[in-house]
Amino acid sequence: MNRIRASTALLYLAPALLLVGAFYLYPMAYTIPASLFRWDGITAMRWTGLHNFTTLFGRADFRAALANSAIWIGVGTLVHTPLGLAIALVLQRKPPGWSFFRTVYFLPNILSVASLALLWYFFLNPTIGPVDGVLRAIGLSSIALAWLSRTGSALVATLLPFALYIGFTMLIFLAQLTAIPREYYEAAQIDGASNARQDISITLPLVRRAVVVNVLFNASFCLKMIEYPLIMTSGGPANATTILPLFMYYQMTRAREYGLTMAAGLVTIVFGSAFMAIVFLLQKTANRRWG
Amino acid sequence: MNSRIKWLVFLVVFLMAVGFSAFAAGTQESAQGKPVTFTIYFHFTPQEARGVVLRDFVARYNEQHAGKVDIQLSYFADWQPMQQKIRTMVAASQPPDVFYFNYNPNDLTLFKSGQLMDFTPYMDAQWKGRFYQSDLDTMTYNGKLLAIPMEQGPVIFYFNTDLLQKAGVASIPRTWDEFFAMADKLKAIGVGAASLFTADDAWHATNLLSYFAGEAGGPKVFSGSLNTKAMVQAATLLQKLFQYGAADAVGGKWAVSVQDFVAGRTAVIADGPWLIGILDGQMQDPSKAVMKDFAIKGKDIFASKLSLSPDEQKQAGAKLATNIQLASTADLRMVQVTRVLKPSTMNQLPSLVEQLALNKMTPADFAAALEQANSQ
Repeated sequence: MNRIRASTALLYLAPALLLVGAFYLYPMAYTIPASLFRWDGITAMRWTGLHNFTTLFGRADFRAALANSAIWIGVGTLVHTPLGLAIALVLQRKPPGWSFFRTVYFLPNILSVASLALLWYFFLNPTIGPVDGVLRAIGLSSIALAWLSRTGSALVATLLPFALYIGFTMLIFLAQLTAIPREYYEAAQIDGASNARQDISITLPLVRRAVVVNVLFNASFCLKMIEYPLIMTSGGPANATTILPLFMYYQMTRAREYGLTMAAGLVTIVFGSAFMAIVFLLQKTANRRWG
Repeated sequence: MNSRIKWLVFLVVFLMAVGFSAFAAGTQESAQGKPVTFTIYFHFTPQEARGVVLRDFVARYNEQHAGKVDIQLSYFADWQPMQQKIRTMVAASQPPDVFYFNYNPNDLTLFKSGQLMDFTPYMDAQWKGRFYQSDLDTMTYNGKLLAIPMEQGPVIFYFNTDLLQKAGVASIPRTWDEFFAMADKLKAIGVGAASLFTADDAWHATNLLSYFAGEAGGPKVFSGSLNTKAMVQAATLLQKLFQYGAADAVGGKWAVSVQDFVAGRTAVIADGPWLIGILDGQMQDPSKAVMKDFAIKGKDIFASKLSLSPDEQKQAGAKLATNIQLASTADLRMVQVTRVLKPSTMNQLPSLVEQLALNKMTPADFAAALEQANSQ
């Protein structure tokens, strides 16, 4: 019986295993040897050993990409996730118009990222964009920056659209919140606990798995997304908004350094895996504390 | 206009190559009595004159050769993705039938691929007479002529005379000093001097950089090291010019820069002749845009030595070009700086130009960084 179950399970799993193996695991494993060669995409590959890695870490644009990706993940974890939770907590109490706002918050997730990036590009454009136009009109010319053209503001400007995706984070939290038994809150209310106390002592510990899911989703988005810096700033000015996927894209399409691209990809995998490991470690610690 | 007239001040060389597999497939189709099908990978927008002409030409050719030859056009809105696709196809030994690419002496990978057809057997005296021998020599690799020059053109300065008039500039500048004096006057009325951008190949900015360098170091300025006194001087002038640019120049793309000129936010743009059709269709009063070409090296750098006749202008479909004047001396030919940069340097170019524009890098450091990147 067990053998039949195992073979049946294998049969069901086979298509997925084949696809994952062929299109995910194999290419991922291929980056390891490929990162040790220099290749322009057409002529023969040349063995360079670890040269691509030493080149990578010696380059200011790669270090900037790594730092900017860490900032994106940091914002996703420390700003985006708490904001999504805050909105979910408010909407969970079903204030007037909650259904409308739930839809509005989620709407950007079904829109094309490229279209939104273009929209933000024109929104922040210093000559035709409304942001600087409004600031100038109300006498705040001094803060009407060319947001996308300054190293100090460009990264913040490309991060702003990230807020649009708060609806997805919110939805995951809402799903988790509805699974919390009402009895916990009723008991707390009998004991005289305020809304804030209920959120801190009941809700937060019980949505920690949703926190982990959201943090991982956000980190994954940050390590895959390319559209906003590509369309809004092309990674500039002076690499101020370059992130790891964009760095890899340019290495492949402009510099035609395929080996270097693979090396950067491998570093990205290690970087993402290290982040995941930290998140799971923190989750384990939290589980030990709250059960 | 006689194509042999050496009016090329500034070369933008596109090459046309034919994939080897296309030739083989074509022979097979022909033998089977089927129409020979070719697909041309190209990037000319339907708005620009060359795009209109090519589409029209192909349509007429197909009509005349119906049943025998069928030319299909595969249009790419963006140059870079088209080049990436071509390279991928070449790497997979399935090169496109006919395609365009830029010649770069520092990147001969397509020539080395073994996937390009040799034009030599087909290059008769009549056809050969349409090209400079030096260009054909350049396209010859290991004794095989693997590409033919498709297009060479000057980078031209377009001036918005209306804005110049408003700023109190009496005539089009003839020296760089006059150019920057004009920039001051334009700035006073809130208009940028020159359209610039830094993303991708920073084309408008590097056009200016090339002119500045050519003026300082002559037509051969890019034939050796890029870390030269001439390049430092050129970078100094470019850095200065960015102070007169539009607010969206740093980080901007080609379309943004063109739009700055079209909308009157800048008074000058340095681009190729293909811009004529675009300006013609977009500017409120295209007759205000006057094209001028700069000669290189010499006191009178804005000298005009050759004019297109009204008939030639009409042929070019350039209603706006009421005053096309181009320098004609053969030894003024030079290559735009990005055409000698390695792909890896091209990748770093936007960042370097941006650092220069934002005063985060000195002109000397810029020249040194450019050379260092190109020598790796």
